[in-house]
Amino acid sequence: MSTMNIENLRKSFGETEILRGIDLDVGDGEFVALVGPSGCGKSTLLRLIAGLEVATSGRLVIGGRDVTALPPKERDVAMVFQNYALYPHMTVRSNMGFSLKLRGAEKAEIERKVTEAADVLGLDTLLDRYPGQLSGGQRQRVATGRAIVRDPKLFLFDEPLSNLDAKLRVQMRTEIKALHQRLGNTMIYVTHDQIEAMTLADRIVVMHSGRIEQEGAPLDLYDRPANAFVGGFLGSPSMNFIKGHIRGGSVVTDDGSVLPGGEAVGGHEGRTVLWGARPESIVPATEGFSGMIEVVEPTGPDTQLLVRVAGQPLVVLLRSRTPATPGEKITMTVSPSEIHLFDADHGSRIEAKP
Amino acid sequence: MMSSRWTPFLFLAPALAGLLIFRLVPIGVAVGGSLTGVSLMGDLRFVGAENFEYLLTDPQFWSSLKITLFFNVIINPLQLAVAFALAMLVFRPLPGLWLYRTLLVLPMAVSTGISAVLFGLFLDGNLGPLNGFLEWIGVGAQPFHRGQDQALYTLIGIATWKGAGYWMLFLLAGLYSIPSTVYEAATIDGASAWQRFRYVTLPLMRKPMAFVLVADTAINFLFFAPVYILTSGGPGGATSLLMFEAYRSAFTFSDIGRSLAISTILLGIILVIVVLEFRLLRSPEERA
Ligand SMILES: Nc1ncnc2c1ncn2[C@@H]1O[C@H](COP(=O)(O)OP(=O)(O)OP(=O)(O)O)[C@@H](O)[C@H]1O
Ligand SMILES: [Mg+2]
Repeated sequence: MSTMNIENLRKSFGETEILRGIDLDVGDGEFVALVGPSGCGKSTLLRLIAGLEVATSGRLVIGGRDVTALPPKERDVAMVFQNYALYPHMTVRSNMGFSLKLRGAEKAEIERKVTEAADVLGLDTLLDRYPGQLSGGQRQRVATGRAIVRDPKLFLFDEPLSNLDAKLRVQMRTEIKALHQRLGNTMIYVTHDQIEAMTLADRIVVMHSGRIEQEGAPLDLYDRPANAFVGGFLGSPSMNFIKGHIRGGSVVTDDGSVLPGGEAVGGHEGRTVLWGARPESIVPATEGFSGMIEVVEPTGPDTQLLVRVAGQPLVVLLRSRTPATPGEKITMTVSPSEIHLFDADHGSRIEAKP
Repeated sequence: MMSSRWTPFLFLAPALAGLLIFRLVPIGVAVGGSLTGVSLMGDLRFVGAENFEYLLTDPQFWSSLKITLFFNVIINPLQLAVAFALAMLVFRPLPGLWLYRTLLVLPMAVSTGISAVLFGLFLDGNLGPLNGFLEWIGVGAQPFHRGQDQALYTLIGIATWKGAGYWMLFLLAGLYSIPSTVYEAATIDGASAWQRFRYVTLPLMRKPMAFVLVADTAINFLFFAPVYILTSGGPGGATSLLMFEAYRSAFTFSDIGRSLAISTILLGIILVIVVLEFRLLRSPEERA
């Protein structure tokens, strides 16, 4: 168990700067999810923390100890890889006990710890199998078990569930959450899957081209994204954006449509903004703005509509089996607290001026 | 690991086909021929085990067999080890890569016959640059292939020079097939460079190593050209490998039956040893 602090960490491969100054403090026992689009540097950051890559500049402190220049061995971190990276020639038992064996632990102690971890993960009957004889989910468990056995200061996960099918992913997600609650270790978890990030993490860190865009509790990020990027990245289907000007408490688009302005318009009269609303925030109403239904997609519990508003597509998620027909006109509204306004140029969040 | 255990053999098919057509089939034909003899009248007749019975009482045969076994006990592990070391050097290059790339490709580019001739000049007692060098540094000239004690080792050296780069390619392919994340996992688990080699690389290289050892053994039991060109089995029979004995029986003494009997015994030995080697290098997973 341990804290981790990153100060102005940078990493370049040749001329290209991949991480451009990362600052991050992770508390003892915290579960932090790193999310961001492909290629933004999540894996690189994780590999730097593990010591598999050397930082170009900056500082990395684990448990109060500066480990920036230390090899992986001396950092006491465990990592679960996307492809699991199990030792193909070793049994599950040897895979899990390998780190202890290298440390020179006694046979009995290795056996005890491996059995313990195997119990937690339901691997007890598979200990004598080879990785090649396991299913994807079982391999994932072994990879996690290999990390648990070490009881490291820090757990690193790089998209550990992305090679599993949807159902198994949900199941393993729950298991990892339970594991964290049981072990209480500090965990840093990279994922593409925002549901995973939202459900697992105490804190989400959103990265974008080598920088941290925003960090915070999952729902805070969801409710108050610091910029249009974070607003658009978190949530599925993603947030709708329409460009317009603030005029008299509303947002008026170029073609003259009037959208509700929400709580943030105060003091910004005339400013060009991106109006943002999540698909599930938009509800049918008798009064409000209107658009033409183009596509209706019933998903079971919900109905997803594609509506053309001010010449732009708007995704609307109705929490009911609303009868809707393409070609129909629909009038909608958004609760003022659920409207997000962002600066049209640099995308940062706009709040009402007092 | 990969899609199928047969995949490697598919890639090796051309080499194996060559081995079959130019080495194994003739030896197969020889098995039949070993049971025949040529009468004084010049016609072929069936003689049963006569050729073999005669061989077993022939001290020249026993001496050749001993030399052949000794040659193989040394050269096969040696070539495997050298090839492995070379593969590691190419896989994790140290500075000076161009140098050993050249050193590796050169022997493959030169045919066995020509390399034997070149070594003959290189090691020559009077004109050879190596002996010139050895005298210059004060070690003194060595007989090499002309010396009873050194000839066999000289042949082993030449064959290793010639073969190691070739076998290296198979091992290099094996090294590249180990996923880099497995090494990274081991590094994070606390393994030093030596421990990664010992616990990850070596065990995962069992299959390519088994292949190289087996194929190399089959080829080295049939080792011939340098003996023919450089030593003619001498001096004093020191390099009279079985393959050369077989050649000599057939073409010097016109005793086809004896020659084919030797070839047949050679085939039997190769088969036994290859089976043993495969068993020896089986992974624990396959043993289970
Ligand atoms: N060893 C390397 N040499 C050169 N460039 C690299 C290297 N490793 C990563 N990169 C580059 O760094 C960038 C970030 O890569 P990284 O793997 O960290 O992205 P990521 O956020 O994990 O993406 P994904 O979600 O697809 O896994 C990419 O543009 C990648 O091409
Ligand atoms: Mg990645």
